[in-house]
Amino acid sequence: MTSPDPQPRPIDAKIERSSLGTPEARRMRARVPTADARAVVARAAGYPRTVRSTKTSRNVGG
Amino acid sequence: MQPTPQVQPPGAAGLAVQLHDQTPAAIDVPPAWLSDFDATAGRDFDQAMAGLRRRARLAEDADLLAALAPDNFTGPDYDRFAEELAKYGMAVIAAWIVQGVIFQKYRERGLGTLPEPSPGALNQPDVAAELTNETVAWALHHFRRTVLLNNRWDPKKGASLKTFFVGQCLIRFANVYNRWRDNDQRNAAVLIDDLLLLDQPLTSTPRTDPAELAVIRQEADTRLAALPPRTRKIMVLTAADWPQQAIAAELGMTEKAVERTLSYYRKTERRKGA
Repeated sequence: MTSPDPQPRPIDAKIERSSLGTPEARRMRARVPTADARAVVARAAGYPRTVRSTKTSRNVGG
Repeated sequence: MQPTPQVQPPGAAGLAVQLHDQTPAAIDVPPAWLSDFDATAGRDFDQAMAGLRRRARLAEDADLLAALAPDNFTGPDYDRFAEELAKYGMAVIAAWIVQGVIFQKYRERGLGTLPEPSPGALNQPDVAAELTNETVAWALHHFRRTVLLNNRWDPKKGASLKTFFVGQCLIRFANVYNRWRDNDQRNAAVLIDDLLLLDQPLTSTPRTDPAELAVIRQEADTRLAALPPRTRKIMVLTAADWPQQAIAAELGMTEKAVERTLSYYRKTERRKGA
């Protein structure tokens, strides 16, 4: 998941046509390196399905 | 002979316009679209066009999700989408944190009030980056599970996918921030003023000689005095040869954040020396 993926795919066109493709959203996205975003996606994928707090009955992480 | 008066035919350019009073056939369009076009008559055409473009984007948002749904929002296409969503969320949340407006945004969403940190506390690069990354990671996790898989996003309600995701980031920010705040306060209280940790170094820590530790302690008291407590602790433990992994575990942060703090400090020192 860390290698660059330069080949455009059909999903890329859909993303650019979506609300993520507005000029303002594109500018914002361009500020973040792909490697940083991939690391966050990987971190999200590693979170457990349900997390129980040791302090309260609320879910940790939101 | 009387000249025959010339009658200007109707039409802006003098061209004949055939007027008719036939009732146009009823066209089934959403009422909101018609109100946008009403606006063009007396108000702002640009505003009406922006409304149409927004609706087109909402339709494209729906189309995008429809393409990802058959695989239950998994696989390479979903990863690509999540990556771009993460980039957008990270840029927005980082900017809000650094500018100090995230607490206001949180209140404006009706999510309540969060205790605000001391001025400048969130401006440290490691803090802002770590809060951002953790917030967006949790937001991605919950967005997929509770919103996408349960079909909770509805384009008819008017919020775009990216706006909906930023809302999710704000919701998740509360827990991430509160955890950081608890941890930071604990660190500030325990830590570094007396550097007790250096008196009980890790078993694998090479520096255990009291004389060496005293030098580090003195260095911390003088050169590093102006640094925020956590950065100072990172510097001291690094000087005592603690591995970054152990420092990260001790301070409840990631190794990457430790590395980023060190890098920022070294750059600052180089600039001072230049």
